[in-house]
Amino acid sequence: MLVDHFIAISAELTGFSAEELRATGMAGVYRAVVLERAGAERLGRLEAAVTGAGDGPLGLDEEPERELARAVAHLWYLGTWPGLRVPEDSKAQRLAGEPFVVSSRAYTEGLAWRTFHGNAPGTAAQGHGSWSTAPPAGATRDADAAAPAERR
Amino acid sequence: MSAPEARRWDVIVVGAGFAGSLVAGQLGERGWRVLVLEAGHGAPDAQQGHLDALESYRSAMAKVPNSPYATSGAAPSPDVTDLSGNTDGGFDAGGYFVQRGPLPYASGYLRANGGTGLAWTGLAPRMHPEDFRAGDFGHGRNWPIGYQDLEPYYRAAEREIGVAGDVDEQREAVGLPFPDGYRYPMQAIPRSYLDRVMAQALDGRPVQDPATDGPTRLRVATTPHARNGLPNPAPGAGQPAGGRLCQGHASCVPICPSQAKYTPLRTQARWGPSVTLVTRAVVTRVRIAGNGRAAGVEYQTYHEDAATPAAVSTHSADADLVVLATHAIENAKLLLASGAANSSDQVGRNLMDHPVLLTWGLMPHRIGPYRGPGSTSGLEGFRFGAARARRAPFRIEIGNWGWTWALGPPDGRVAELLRSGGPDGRGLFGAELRRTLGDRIGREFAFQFEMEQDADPANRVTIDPRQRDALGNPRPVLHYDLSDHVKRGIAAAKSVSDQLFALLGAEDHTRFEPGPAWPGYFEYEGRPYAYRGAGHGAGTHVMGDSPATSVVDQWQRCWDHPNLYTVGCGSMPTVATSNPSLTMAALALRSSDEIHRDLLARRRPVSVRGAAGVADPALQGADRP
Repeated sequence: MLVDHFIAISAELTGFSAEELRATGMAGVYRAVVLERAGAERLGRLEAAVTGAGDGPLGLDEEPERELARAVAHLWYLGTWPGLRVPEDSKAQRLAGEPFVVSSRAYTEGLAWRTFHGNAPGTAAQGHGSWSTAPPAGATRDADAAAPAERR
Repeated sequence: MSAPEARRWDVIVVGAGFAGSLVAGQLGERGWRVLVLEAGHGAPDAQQGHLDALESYRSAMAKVPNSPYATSGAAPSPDVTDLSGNTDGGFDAGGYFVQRGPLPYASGYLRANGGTGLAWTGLAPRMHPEDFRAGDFGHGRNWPIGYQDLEPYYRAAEREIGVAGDVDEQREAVGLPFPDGYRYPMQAIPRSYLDRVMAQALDGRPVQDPATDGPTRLRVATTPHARNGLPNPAPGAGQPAGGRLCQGHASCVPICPSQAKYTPLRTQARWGPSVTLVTRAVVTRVRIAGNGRAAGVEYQTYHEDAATPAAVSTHSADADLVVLATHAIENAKLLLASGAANSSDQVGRNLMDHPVLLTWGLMPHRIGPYRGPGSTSGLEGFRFGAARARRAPFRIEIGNWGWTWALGPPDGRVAELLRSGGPDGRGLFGAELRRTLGDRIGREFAFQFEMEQDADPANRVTIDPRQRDALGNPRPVLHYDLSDHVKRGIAAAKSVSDQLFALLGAEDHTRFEPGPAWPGYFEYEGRPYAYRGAGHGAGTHVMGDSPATSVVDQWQRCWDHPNLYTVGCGSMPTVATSNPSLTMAALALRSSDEIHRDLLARRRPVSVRGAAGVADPALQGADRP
């Protein structure tokens, strides 16, 4: 249930549907990373800002929310936690600043590659000579189609 | 196994990388007892080592060439991340190298079992016949041998490491002579879709190289690879060298998941029982006896990653013949630390690399980057001809992996759009983010211009007693710069690039500016440029026809010590424009024959061992090229 919340805002932030995000198998892991690095309160504020925005533009006027929104999208797109700016005096928050690759699986599931129907280097056997063919014909079309379908 | 120092060896090979593994295999095959000492780590189980390396690569923040492999402070490896450019020009160098030149030596290497041959890109083009006589064009040196001397060994190397290529195309597009009927062991690796789009736009079109009078006609030609393609059905082509068919994982550098790319571990798997490998054995000195002969080596062993003196023990081993095969820079360092082979004062000098000019942009339509090997085709017309007297020659690789080498993987583009994309410049999210990334990354491509660097004695490796690593061994101190000849080549390459972008109708995003990402930034004739290092260190124990002016003879045997060979790219008088590993392999096979003859000559009065090797018909052919 709580993961569903996280997936819902992740879909808004990434432009990938909830089904596509769920299929990566990474939602629970990523939510745990965000909770650990940014805290439940900050994630809650981000969820409120994004879900409260309705049909309008994402409610990310406040910089702390926007920074976390970028981090969540970054996580999904690359499998890497990018780190957050940490207040100088905040010892407890130091953890948040450290960038790291969540796991080799997370790297493999990065959405950045999927935006052009590719694969993260070193993760997919694509068949001998597969690189000679034109990229998938639907690549341009379905990325364009995603615009109206998913932004609501 | 008895302790390596408890017995006398026929041959000690220092370094279990590309050249060392080949030499050890060739000599072991002929029955010689060979001790191989490797400074870096080796996995007890090769397959598990491969899986561990894959996992390390996929979870590494910076997926640089050394990232999959276990390294040690006891035998440090220089890494490309050691360098950083300054915003006002110039550079900072951390890590293993001490850099004192005006420009950085911008390549790393890997000290591990298999060496840099684990992370290499796997391209295996031959050198052009002209490349052996660069001195005739007024820049650099001539080799003591020519293409025809090496040709049989090119064939032997192509069989040994398993090369896929198209002989006819190499003959026509590069002008390489091959014996009639010769076929590479495997069919050419298929060209990428990007190559096909380029060929359509570029083949037959003229570009004007500023160094030539007439235009150069373009032709996109496939590149020979040391990775598995389909077996060549032509007669006499030989069999694939093992491993699986290339699956297009797009990560040849730094690791091929399907093990379709040749690595020295493949040769090691074929080593006979007379070859003994010891890893974590750092050779510190070649012992030279009073008669000028190499008596053996001294080495340190260390425990795992503990680089503390307590975990280190010292050893000595004796042999009839010693082969140094530790990479161009390490070989020079070791000779200098041993006070060996330097009557010519050329040890460590003539350090060369391939300075690489990168240009990058977006094709008009999606071309499916980040698929297949890093480069499957090139433009070969700038590698030879009279123009090389006026500017450094260069080879153009078409880059299949987007902007990775120029700007890093797509991570940076994602972060930038999130940070400052969108109409308000405060970041792009949602469907627009997805669409924009797909459109841009899906059109990324690059050109990689590999420049020949001329041998300059001022570019050199030295050692300094104040600069030592954790085990107290000298760190390489480098002085490196680019000559005006190279800079003219880079300027010509940029001009060619501009014309290629115009012919392709591509958006040029090339931009060089001083800063952390470009330690190799420089200005030439008022224009900004930058280069990266191709990892092709060469020249530091240069081969020649006179002991007065070179370190090794045509067999890579030190002029000063008749039983000390120093092998690898360090022997090359020219680094030429082709990726040098195939040439290094051909030279290693050629030297192995000579080493075998040396060992036989030394033993002949008392022993007939090794006679089987002489009867090898393949070798007899190779003996008399």
